[in-house]
Amino acid sequence: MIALHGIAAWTGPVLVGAVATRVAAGAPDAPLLVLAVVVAPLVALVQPRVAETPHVVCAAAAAVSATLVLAASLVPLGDAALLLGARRWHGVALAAVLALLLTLTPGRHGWRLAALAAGGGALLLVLGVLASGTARAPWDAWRDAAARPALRFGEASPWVTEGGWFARRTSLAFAEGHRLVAVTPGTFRVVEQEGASYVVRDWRLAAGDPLSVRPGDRLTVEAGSRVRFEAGKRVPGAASSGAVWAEAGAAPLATSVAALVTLVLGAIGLVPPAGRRAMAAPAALVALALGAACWGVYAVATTPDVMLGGSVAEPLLRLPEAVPRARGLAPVVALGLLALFVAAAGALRERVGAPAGSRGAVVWAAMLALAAVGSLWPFDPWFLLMAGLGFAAATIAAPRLAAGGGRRVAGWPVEAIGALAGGVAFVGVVVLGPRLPVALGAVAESPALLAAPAGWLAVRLLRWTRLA
Amino acid sequence: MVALTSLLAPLLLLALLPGAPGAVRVAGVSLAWWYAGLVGPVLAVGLTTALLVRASE
Repeated sequence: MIALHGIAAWTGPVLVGAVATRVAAGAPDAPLLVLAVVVAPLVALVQPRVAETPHVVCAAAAAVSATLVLAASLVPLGDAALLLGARRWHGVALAAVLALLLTLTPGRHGWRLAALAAGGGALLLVLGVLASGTARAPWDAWRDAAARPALRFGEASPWVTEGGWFARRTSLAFAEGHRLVAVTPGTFRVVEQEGASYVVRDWRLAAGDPLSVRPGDRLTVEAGSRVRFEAGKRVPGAASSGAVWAEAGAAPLATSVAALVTLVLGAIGLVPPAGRRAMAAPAALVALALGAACWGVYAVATTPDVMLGGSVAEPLLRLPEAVPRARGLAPVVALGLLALFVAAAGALRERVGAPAGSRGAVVWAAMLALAAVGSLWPFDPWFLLMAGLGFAAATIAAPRLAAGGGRRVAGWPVEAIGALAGGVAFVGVVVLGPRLPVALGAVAESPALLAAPAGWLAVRLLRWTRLA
Repeated sequence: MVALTSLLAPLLLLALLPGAPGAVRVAGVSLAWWYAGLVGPVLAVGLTTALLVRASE
């Protein structure tokens, strides 16, 4: 496998969309996330090669991780289909069937490189058109975004004209009074602060019914709801101004470290080491990650409401419509995301399908089907991605880094026992997560923080006992 | 691998230091973003390329 094939497992639509969305939202960890998205797969490329065929436990762990990552990558494609006027399942089914047909076609593998080049090329091409259409280089767009006195709904925003759509259940905090209009019937929960107490009101609205909220109110909107806002009002949930967006502060250290552990070890688990002459892979990674970050910056500079609906596909599809010269390019972006998904599926199939032997095709088809069905639920794709990477960190990367050196215990390779220990610890933290004390919040949020050391320690202890 | 991972440390340090040095603007863009968007990626690609070249020799 050449390095460019391998990094395709990393550059799926979910990661590109998540970087753009987090940058657009002014998330405190956005700069760290952008750099981690570049560095993590590069660490994986320079990892030592593993010669032997993985044990069935390690192969099963890789299959679970890959299924979660595939589901995470299918969610934005379903969202993209909805944003382009189709049904969610149209986008998911098209992507899953295309990936299945291409990955099960024997012989030819050139399509994987072509898909990565086409997907990345399409996104970077449209980004170039955005830069040209706004007449701003990315750093100029950053300065413009940071200088905005407030992030407000524009007159032409779909959230003002026909009504925006919430991809998943969302809670919005209002800093000023708003008058919303429900475009589709739905239930809206408003939490009003009255002195020191809170009053919860559930409003059942029909299409066209208005709802007024006051400063300090919190509104919970169910997935699939469509709402219209007033032009000129501040975008709820967004930074209060460009300066606040630019100086978003810092995420808690434990949260940042937990995310970094998950991303770096997850990449080691899913991205294979590079062979010789792998110089194009690092450049391609940097271009895609920084391109996604630039997308987020242009979003704040032109349409700061693109992250309101909670879809990681929205900044990528809505932004071209807001820039005159890029209008009509949203389908090109959607095709680019589809190509990136197909390339990612090819790379993940290589990681999972090969060890499964003759039953590989059946296992792979089942994984894609499971991922497709799972992605039809309004899951947060970032949650699915971090779950997949975290599981890979605990069951593949950590035991491998402990370097079992081919040793066996009761006929089992010590890496397989480490994978079991890491997997059990991961599932245990997920199950116990809500009951963990507040001080262990970072562990509950990123189970790999505890599960990866468990997998690593199991291998080291077994090595030590065998040597003793 | 350790050298590459340590490239992430300066951003954690910028967030920890008092006075929010990461928010200081240089040519209109914050220091954190200059590092995350330019210096860090250039160093990471350079280091990876050097490691891969050395491994292939």
